[in-house]
Amino acid sequence: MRSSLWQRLLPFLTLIALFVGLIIATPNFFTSTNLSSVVRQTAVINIMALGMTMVIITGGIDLSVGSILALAGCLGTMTMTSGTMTSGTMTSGYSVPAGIAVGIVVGCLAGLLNGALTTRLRINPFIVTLGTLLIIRGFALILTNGMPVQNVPKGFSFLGEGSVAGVPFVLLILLAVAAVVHVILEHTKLGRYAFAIGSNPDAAFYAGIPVKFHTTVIYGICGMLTGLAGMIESSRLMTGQPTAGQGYELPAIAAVVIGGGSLRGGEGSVVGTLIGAFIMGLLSNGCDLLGIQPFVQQATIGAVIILAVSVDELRKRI
Amino acid sequence: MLLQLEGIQKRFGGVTALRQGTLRVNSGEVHLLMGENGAGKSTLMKIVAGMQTADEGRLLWRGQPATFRSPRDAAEAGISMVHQESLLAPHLTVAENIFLGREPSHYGFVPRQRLMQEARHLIEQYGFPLRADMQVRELSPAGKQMVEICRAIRHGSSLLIFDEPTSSLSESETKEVFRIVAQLKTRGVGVIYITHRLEELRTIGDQVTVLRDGETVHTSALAELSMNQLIKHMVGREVSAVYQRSPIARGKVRLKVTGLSRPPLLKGIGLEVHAGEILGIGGLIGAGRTELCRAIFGIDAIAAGSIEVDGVPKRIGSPREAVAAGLAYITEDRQKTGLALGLPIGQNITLASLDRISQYGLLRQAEERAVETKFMHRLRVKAAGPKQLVGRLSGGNQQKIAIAKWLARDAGIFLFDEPTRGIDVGAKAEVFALMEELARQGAAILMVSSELPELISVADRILVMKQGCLTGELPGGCTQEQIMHLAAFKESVH
Repeated sequence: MRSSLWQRLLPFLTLIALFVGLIIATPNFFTSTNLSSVVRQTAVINIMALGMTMVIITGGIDLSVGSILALAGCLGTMTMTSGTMTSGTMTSGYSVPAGIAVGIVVGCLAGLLNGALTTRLRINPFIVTLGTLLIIRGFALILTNGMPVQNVPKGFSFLGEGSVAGVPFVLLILLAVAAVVHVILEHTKLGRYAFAIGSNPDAAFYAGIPVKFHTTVIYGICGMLTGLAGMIESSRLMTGQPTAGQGYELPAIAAVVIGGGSLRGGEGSVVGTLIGAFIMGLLSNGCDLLGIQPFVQQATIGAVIILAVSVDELRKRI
Repeated sequence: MLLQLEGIQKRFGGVTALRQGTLRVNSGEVHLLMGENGAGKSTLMKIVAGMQTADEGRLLWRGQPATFRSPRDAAEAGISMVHQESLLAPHLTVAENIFLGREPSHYGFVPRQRLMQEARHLIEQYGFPLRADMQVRELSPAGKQMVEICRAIRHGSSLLIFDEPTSSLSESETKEVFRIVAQLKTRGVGVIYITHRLEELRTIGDQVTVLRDGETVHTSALAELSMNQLIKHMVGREVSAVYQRSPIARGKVRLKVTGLSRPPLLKGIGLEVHAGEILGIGGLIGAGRTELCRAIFGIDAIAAGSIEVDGVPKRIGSPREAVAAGLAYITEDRQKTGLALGLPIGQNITLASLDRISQYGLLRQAEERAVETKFMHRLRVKAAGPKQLVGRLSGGNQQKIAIAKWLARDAGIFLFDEPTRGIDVGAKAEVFALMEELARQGAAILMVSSELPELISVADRILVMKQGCLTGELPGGCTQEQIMHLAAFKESVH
């Protein structure tokens, strides 16, 4: 028997309770400025977490996302600035989309590298991505000489800070990404294979599924979304920071896990991950508004992660 | 009277696992517990071993009412369970595993020498084929079982429960387990023994209790019961122990294997399977039968040899290419290699045929639903619906799903590796009927089985393997002795 409805709704109910609680606790919470700042702050982690969801469903993990985010941001912004420096060949109007595209492609390539290393060398993804975490970060630092990429075109700020009809542009991007990942996971062959590989890689292989290929593609998609997140982060900072995104892998993994994903593979969902990311976002925003120390914030979020997973394990055992 | 269970009931949510569990076991008696999968045997034993508690009913231990709230509780009273899947620490030694959790300690230190000595003493006393200083991961499944038995004896158990101990053991290993069981018996230990292998019962059993649908339906001395009566009690209807085949006209050759070699496991194997034919492969454990299936299916690379499917030479270097060529492989271990246990029934059924029910990578959901329900119906899968997780099904129903995956793919050549392992009598008959139906529709079937009576009654022809070579061919309906002769004694031609 699968879990009852209310148990599956528990993360969602927690999110609602948190939301309502904050409305009551502080008048500054339910304002359009605050809400849009919550959305903007969580969008980057959220988009990364969606890619991470796919990887975790296959039974893998990607610890290198923070470094991929930085490398993508640096190379993306460098493309934009090189376009303006040799002005005349490329106007800033085109350099922004070109830079964003470069960032996404760089992320995708880094993800494919992770996938290829784990599947071809048969090394545990935890180890592989621990290695690439350092390699990619090092590469970003070498490339930029440790200095942030400056003088990005002004138009670039729209990606992270712009609004469409009062709605933060990043929210629209997040919703679009969520919709695409949801469709991939629930309605495509690739998504089904991801679940099968995560649930039992041997059975998937014996059923004639090209396990290595599909696993690599999933890592590629995760990298691609991380590249996109990197461009959003750069746009909010208006620089390409080689040190950006340090430690981002942990909240991304935490969002997946709070949302019901299992590190053993075969479990996870887009809706769950979104809820997980927003629970963490609201917690940290709420702590800010209520004037709670940042140290206490961290401890609270840590406790929530453990609580969420233990509730989930309990639910599965019943 | 060592153990007495009266009217035990146990429910899990809305499902009643035990309705009326009754069992009486004496000291120095081997008591067989029989029943189909899902009859409630395991639940009853878990209650005895303290892994679960009964909702209703009485448990008397040495005449006193008792409730065991944990395995430790039960162990302290003198009850131990030897599990089907070994629960040992693979990186520790045999001695360390035997004493695990109950080390003789001296101010918190474990004296290694004493541990080794005591373990050696125990091993010698019973003549276990074990060495105290070996790491458990180096042992065969039988060896691991022995360690579990040692562990139970060491804890001074007066009742040992064996849950299908021989399901993964070879004949000689099985004999070894029987020898130990007989020794335990003479020392006055009570033994409850769960098994599906009908032919091995007579050797060791004294009493038998049969469970059906959560109820004890029969209890008697084993000698008073014929095999067919026993089966009748288990299934609740007349079922013959021997499957009755009807003849099928043989068609053209569908699978032809020539000179297949993968030294030292496979040497120059050549065989043909025709449409409408069930070709049996017999042999002892380790003769290379599973390796043959794996090589044909492209899982292991072969050193030499060729494979023809329907007269066309095929290069099969991966399961993917095998599937594309129309082959299907029902593996001997469905939980490890056959099924994604954490996924729903429906998704397991369509797993091998998603490219047929998708377009541009998008799944056609209505079509998938249709395939799921069609095969659940056709194989009479007992489940709540296609969304139920496969891991929650009984062995027989899991096997049906593993087969359904290939029926949905419309495969034409089937490799069945131990198709009846760990499934009950009723489901076995259903699996055989299905194999026959496939053959009648023109499929070619290769069937590996260690159960000689099954091989003899189901296969049209039987090839026997020994040490990676074919040692001979026998017609269906031959005797077990003929197969054993080729499997164990025949000098290989190579």
